[in-house]
Amino acid sequence: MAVLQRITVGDVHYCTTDEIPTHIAPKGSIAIVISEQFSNTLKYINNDGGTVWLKIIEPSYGQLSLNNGTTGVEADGTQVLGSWYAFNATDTWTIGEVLNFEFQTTDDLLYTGGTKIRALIRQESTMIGGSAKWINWEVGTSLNFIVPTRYQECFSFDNDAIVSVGATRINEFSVGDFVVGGISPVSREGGGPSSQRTYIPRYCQLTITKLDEAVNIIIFNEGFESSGFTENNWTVVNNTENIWVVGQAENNGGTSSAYISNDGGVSATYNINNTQVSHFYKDITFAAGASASLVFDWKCEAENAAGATQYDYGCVVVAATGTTPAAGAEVSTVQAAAGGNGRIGAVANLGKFNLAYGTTPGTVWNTETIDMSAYEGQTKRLIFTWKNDGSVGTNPPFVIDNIRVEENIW
Amino acid sequence: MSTTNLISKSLGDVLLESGNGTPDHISPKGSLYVDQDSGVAYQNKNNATAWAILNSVAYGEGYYQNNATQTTISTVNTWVAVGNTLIAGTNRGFSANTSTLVVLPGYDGKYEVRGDVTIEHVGGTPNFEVGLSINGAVPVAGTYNGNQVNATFTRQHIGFSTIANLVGGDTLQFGVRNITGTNNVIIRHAGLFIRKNG
Repeated sequence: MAVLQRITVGDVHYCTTDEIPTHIAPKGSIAIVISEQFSNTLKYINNDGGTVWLKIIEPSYGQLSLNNGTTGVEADGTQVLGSWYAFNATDTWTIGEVLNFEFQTTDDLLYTGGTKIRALIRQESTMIGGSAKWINWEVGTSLNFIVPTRYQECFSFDNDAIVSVGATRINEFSVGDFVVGGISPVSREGGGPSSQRTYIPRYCQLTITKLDEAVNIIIFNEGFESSGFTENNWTVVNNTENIWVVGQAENNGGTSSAYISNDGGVSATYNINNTQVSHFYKDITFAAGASASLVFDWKCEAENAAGATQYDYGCVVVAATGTTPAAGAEVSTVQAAAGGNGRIGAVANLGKFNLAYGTTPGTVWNTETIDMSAYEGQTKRLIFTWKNDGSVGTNPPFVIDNIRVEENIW
Repeated sequence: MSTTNLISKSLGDVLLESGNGTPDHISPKGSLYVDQDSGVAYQNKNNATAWAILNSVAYGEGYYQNNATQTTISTVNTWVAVGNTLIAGTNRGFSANTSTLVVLPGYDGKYEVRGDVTIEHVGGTPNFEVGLSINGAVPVAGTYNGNQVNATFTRQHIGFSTIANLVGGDTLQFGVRNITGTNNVIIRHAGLFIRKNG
């Protein structure tokens, strides 16, 4: 870390640095980090007159409320004991003050800010007990409809008595993540029909306050601009005709990209009648705690049908570093479980990049972003594969540019 | 406290300033001011005397779910520390040490503290209060709330929030008391959350 410039104002320093500050400075000193490696400009303030620097962040927040819900619910009827549900997806919710969050559908807040953040989420809920039976509840917030793992608990009394419960947690948000208030019936008073064990989810306030934001750092960047596959030590395993090349027939910035070609790189075209599988790969280390992402730009028309091996497509595979791809054979045809080996990305098309995935990918560059946080602390082999069968297909085949591995540093 | 000992230097149209006390002086919009007493930074919002604190990042989270350990209540209306082990959640500036969250050195400041627990019935029809214990002291008024459990409605929620000045080495822990008897209690679920203000 180097201090680039410094202005002293009284006892306080205002300075610029090229990395996150670690130097000793007077309490209250402000450092602005200027680095091409970082996705955004960072500001820090010294908190102790020593080496403790705290990040300064801009706010994000959101608030959503349900007032006077009227829809009754049968516990152990429409809701099953032990399962989780949205707190109230029927009655109307009201959006409150928001910044970088928005009301998505009926009862959830969607994160729309650009940077990965951590936020404190709180759900305060009131239920009205139903006809004649008590119910025991767990209440907690759900991120992207994942079953809550942090929750609090209460009983709603019978005969229209009310009870309130609140639960808090910290979650990480990427753009597109959303949070919804959750509720789960744990147990209920026995006997009688389920209609006697009803309740009304009456009030709920969902509040989100940003705590921290990540710094996005590109730790690997391949634009295929200078030395083909060799500059970044890719290993190429080509079949006989439809082979990976670095050339200038396609690019998404700069002059070059990597693509399948059957004419030595003059064009991004393939012989649809010659069954082929070709690869290029390298090993990447994903740092612990860095919430890494793999990002790349791609094009591909080819040929698709239902099934993981039909027909012509590109795919990306994560494998153990000892795995050596062979020409003519796919390394994996199944999608990777969390942290496991297999295909990654293009989840909606069984891991196949072709005309059936993305937005008109035969003519328009698409960008794929794959969460690699499950591979934190591991070195994995990253394999880009092209496969085509022996008939039918449309150019272009798989075209790749701007492969990046990005890490989020908190 | 008003601004005193104000020193300014220009950076284009923006002033970089330092002084003592909460700012109430006029500066160009966008100017940065640091209160050397608190180490808190402000930014001018209106070419006049409106200053907004720049929020710095420190936060902590300790929690557990489904703990069945009883907390022993020996004396009515007397605070007892909750000894259940907290799991460290997402922390910057804090660490979990058995049943406490500990402020790390250098992370002094003013913090919002939020606690949530679910109390569980052991016997009787007791009223419990649960609050924030700092450095082992009993929770003070304004930092606790209460609820009742009985043989039918065996689990209920208690939440509290407060703002506290904390320094490195301070410990934060749940305290509980039975204000109507000596029945024990189970603190079944717990979450303790801290975020820096300013």
